[in-house]
Amino acid sequence: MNDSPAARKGLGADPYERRWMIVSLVLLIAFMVTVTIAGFALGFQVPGDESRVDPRTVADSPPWSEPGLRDLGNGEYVAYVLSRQYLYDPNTITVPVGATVTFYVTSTDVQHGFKLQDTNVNMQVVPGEVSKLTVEFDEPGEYKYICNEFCGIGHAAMFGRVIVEAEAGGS
Amino acid sequence: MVLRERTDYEVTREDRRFVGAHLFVAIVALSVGSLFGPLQAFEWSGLDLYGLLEPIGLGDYYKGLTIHGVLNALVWTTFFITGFLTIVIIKGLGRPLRYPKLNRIGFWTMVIGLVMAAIPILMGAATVLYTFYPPLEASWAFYLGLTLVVVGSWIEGYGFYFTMAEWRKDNPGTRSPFIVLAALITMVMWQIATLGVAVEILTMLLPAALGITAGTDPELGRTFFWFTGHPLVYFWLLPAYVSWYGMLPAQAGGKLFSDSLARLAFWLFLLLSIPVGFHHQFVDPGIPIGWKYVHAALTYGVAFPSLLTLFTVVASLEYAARKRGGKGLLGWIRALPWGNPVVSAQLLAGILFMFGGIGGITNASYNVNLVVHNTAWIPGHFHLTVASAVTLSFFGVSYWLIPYVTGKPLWTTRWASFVNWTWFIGMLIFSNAMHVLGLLGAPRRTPLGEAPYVPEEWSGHLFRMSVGGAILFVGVVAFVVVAARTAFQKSRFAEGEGVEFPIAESIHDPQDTPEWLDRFKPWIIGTIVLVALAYGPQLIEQIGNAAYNSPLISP
Amino acid sequence: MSDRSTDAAFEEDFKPRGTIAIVAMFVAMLILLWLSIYLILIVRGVTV
Ligand code: HEM
Ligand SMILES: [Cu+2]
Ligand SMILES: [Cu+2]
Repeated sequence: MNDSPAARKGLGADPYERRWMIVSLVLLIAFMVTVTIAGFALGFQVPGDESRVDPRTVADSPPWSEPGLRDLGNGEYVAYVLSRQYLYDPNTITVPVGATVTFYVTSTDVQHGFKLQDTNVNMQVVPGEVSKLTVEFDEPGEYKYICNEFCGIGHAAMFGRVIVEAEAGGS
Repeated sequence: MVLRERTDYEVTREDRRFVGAHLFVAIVALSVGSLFGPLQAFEWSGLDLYGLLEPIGLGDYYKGLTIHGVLNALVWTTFFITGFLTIVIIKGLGRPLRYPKLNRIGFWTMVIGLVMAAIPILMGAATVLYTFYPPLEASWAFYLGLTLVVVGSWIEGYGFYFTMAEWRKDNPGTRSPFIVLAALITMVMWQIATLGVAVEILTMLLPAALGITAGTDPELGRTFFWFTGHPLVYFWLLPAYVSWYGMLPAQAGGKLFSDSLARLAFWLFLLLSIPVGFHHQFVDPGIPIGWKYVHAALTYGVAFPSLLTLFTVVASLEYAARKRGGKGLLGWIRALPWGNPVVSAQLLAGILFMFGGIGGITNASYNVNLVVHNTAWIPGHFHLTVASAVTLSFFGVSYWLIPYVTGKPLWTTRWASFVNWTWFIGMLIFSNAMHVLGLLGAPRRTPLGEAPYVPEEWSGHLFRMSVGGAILFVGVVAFVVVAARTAFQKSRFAEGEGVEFPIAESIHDPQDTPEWLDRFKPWIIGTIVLVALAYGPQLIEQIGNAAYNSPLISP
Repeated sequence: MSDRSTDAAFEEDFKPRGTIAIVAMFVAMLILLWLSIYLILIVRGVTV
């Protein structure tokens, strides 16, 4: 029986492999620490458990019966967006540059996506659930939000836009 | 000496045909499913060929995408895997299946399920993509068909277990052969994992499709689905690892670098493949951040055995190459038998998988997922994994397995090599373009040719993607031709010729492998406990609050 | 199938130097590519 090159105890891993295992673990832990700091200390967070709605009646009850933007003052806004085959309501949202907008998105029918281009807002939209994420618009311009989950035959046409206006002399 | 006897076992004609039947269904599925790949890529770049398919009822992009996903990701893989694992069990243990009829029943259950699911798909009554997220509506026959495919694979798995149990009885104290252990771990993992989708279909989708219940709870459906969905990717990958660890070293002219590490990697896959499904739901509503975070950590855990695999497999190859006279720090790579398509397929698959692995760790990185979720990056990623690491490795396996089960020589080495390199080059171009498109914001599952929001900036990458798609198409057609011409040619191996069944020896005697790496019970119990801890509380929460108020809606 | 005893000397000497080089390159690539995507996340701004 040949068990020479390395003294094989326990696992019987060879010394190079053992070192590689340590490197792997250190690497994975480093990644974990990095994303943890970004997520829990710096505000790069994923959506969580927000609230539930009844998809059959959600469009008739506040706040979703009047989807759209609410100005909370201090440059803070809330946007309620209803997704349905194959459009967003509202499909245009206008805010001044510097606005912080919290999106609440739900669906009246099937699953959709809500991806706001050039930002980190990228959510699954699920009937019966409310998806929530926030974004700060520091640059003026047009930001499209597009549906990135298959929702039926008209899916490819489903999008809306946020227009961020440059402050023209104190709005 | 036990080892020699095992490999000398002559597989019966019936069993060869049985395995061959699996491969046949798998390759037919791949050849139909892959037709849509290039069509999708062309559509994205503005060349819409679906009009041509309208007369045969395949003019709908999403119907095509459903066929592509179901046939490639579910059928090609599942049939190839069950067939491959069957021969691994028989040859690895050196004995016939304990209950051959049981395995036949499993196979035919899968075939019936496949036909049952295919009919509504082709009729346009199940255009729900291969994830069938509720409340998209599909025919009950689609759900029942998929269930039968899964149940059939379970039955084949039971057949493996009975065979193993009998071998254990006859060989007390002997370490089980690595490839057999690995095959069985794959099956056990699969049987625990598929409980999620089984519950989703039986308690939510099928009753709703039959009109027994009024609706579904879509987020609960997603949780059930991804309970199965992530381990599904390991069900695809582990059989490729069986070949990389247990066969490739022999095919390359060497030995397995470490038998015990190979076993450990498989046990870790059993333990960690399942309790990670929320990493597909990072950006979902209705799941608390804390549980997403736990699954993110466990997902990093399941990356660990793949990193081990990288080292062990490369070291086994280096051992082989140096034995063949390879020199230099990296010069030995040229000494590997690249001319053997069985080997080159797996080497190229492994190279593509390095990129796939990097992308996978990125996807799994919790908030980093916000950048890539449901963008073109994701199909870019899994065409490197399931459509390359797995599919290209299975091509490599086919080059010896089809000759092995048919008794006919490979037609031909050159064409098989052509397939490998075409796939490799096509995939590099295709997947790179898709990754970049995803970072620019391009959505997946979307015929971008008709989307009104595509900026000019994407067009160069869309074009590159369709070039890659075209090359891949050449590759897959060539593969199907190679497989068919091999299997259906007239000439057979002459007396005394033939292919050997590849079983890699380990550098160290497997008998020295610690006993705890050869026992199922503690690992299975550990798996169940870990899954219960990682899924239990949130699952109870979601089931407790379930509201089946989302009626099915046709797409 | 090669005989265990004749391989012994070869195995004794075998150091997976090339493998170490390859996994080192892999790690470098992993860190680089991963960080570049992480940077995209950071550039695109906070979400709470
Ligand atoms: C002939 C080569 C292939 C090409 C050109 C190709 C192309 C594509 C493209 C462009 C998409 C994205 C469609 C979209 O998101 O709208 C896609 C999706 C997909 N492909 Fe492929 N593919 C090929 C082969 C394969 C193979 C061999 C597999 C699996 C073994 C596979 C599995 C998948 C899966 C699972 C999807 C996702 C379907 C979905 O989102 O529902 N593909 N393919
Ligand atoms: Cu959509
Ligand atoms: Cu996964």
